[in-house]
Amino acid sequence: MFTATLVGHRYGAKKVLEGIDLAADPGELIGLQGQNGSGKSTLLRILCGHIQPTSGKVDWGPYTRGSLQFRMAVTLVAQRPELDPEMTGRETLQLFRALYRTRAEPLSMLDDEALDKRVGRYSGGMKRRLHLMVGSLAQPTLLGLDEPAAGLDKEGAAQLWEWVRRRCKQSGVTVVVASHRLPECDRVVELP
Amino acid sequence: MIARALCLRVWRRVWRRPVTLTFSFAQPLFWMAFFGFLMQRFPLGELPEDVSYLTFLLPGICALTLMQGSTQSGVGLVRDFQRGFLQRMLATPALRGEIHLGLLVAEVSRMHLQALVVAFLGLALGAQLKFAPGALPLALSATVCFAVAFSSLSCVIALRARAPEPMGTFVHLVNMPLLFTSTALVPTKQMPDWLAAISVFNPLTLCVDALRSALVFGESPDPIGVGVLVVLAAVLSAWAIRELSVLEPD
Repeated sequence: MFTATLVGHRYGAKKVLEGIDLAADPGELIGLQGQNGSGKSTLLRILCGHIQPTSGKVDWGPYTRGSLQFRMAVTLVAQRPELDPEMTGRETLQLFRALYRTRAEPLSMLDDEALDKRVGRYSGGMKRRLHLMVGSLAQPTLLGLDEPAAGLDKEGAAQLWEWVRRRCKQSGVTVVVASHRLPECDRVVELP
Repeated sequence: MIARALCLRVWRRVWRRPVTLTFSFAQPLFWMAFFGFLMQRFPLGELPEDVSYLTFLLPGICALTLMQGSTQSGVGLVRDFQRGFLQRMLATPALRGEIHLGLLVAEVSRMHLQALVVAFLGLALGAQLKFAPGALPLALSATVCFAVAFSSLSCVIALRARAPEPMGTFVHLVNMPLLFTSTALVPTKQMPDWLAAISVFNPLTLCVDALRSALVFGESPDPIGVGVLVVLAAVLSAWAIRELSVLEPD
């Protein structure tokens, strides 16, 4: 799905990544592990095309970074839940179903009562669940998940990892997870 | 589908916060109630005898309502940008044009509803309109294009500034000079020559004149003026879509 060659990144004078080589096949589940500040999120954002590396390159095969086809093929579920507090959970899902041009049902992580509440009244855990539900509407071939289980209880995390494994094995989606709490992965990349 | 979903989102926000909508009628009402009745006492030269100053002023205040609403259209984009919500929308397969269209449909329809309420308020205060039904579609094209143009410009500023403070500056910087160099408040014959010359090129004048022709004088608006507004709307919309296209999702 992608090949990263000698990828490096700097924020000003601060070097966060250097010489990363990484390739992934369809249906593979890859974990990125490392201490705080080791560059897990940065690498994930580079692999999902959200930022360009300051050195090295990433090749996504037939897709050009930023194109419509690329945005259909690659989805990043970021660490921070980016939601509108004035919308209800159900309205948020309706909007993103339209934006992703899909009729797919999202991962079921909130009940009807919660979905009818405004996001501004959600707890941190509920926001995280809705955030993941929105991400689950996308039908990509490469899915990046940045600390997806942060703020989730044990039951929610188990449901999430089960869904991730199903996407990999049944739909052939390549999933890259950056987290301190990784599920059982095909491969774990340890960042120094 | 995408434009509809985005339009619904804006309308729901307006519906849930009716206070903002209600306050937006206060300023036009003050203009008509105070300025309208004050200026009624002075002769305005070129107006026909059966046209009172309040009647003359009403299309200007309707256009002013459109201008104030459209120059603030970008405020929602700034809020979405700061929450990361805009970037999340941009990371989906939605076309930038569809995102902009959704915003435009919502904002332009909201502003026209506001302008309609203002028109009824003006009638309640004593303005008397002389409709030219045949001229209404052209006048409506002028108001829609005017609102599209300034909403798009507001989006461009929002996407470049990405903070609410510069948006406030932009709104004041645009609204006041455009209002006082237009025919919204006084006819050109009452202006000094230099101001009259400026007012000809003012988009607010083009919008007000089209509306005034159709609603007050019972005439068809000048198609050249409407054409200029169509071009302005197309150029500024294209610019806004370009600004959305170059915005990185991170």
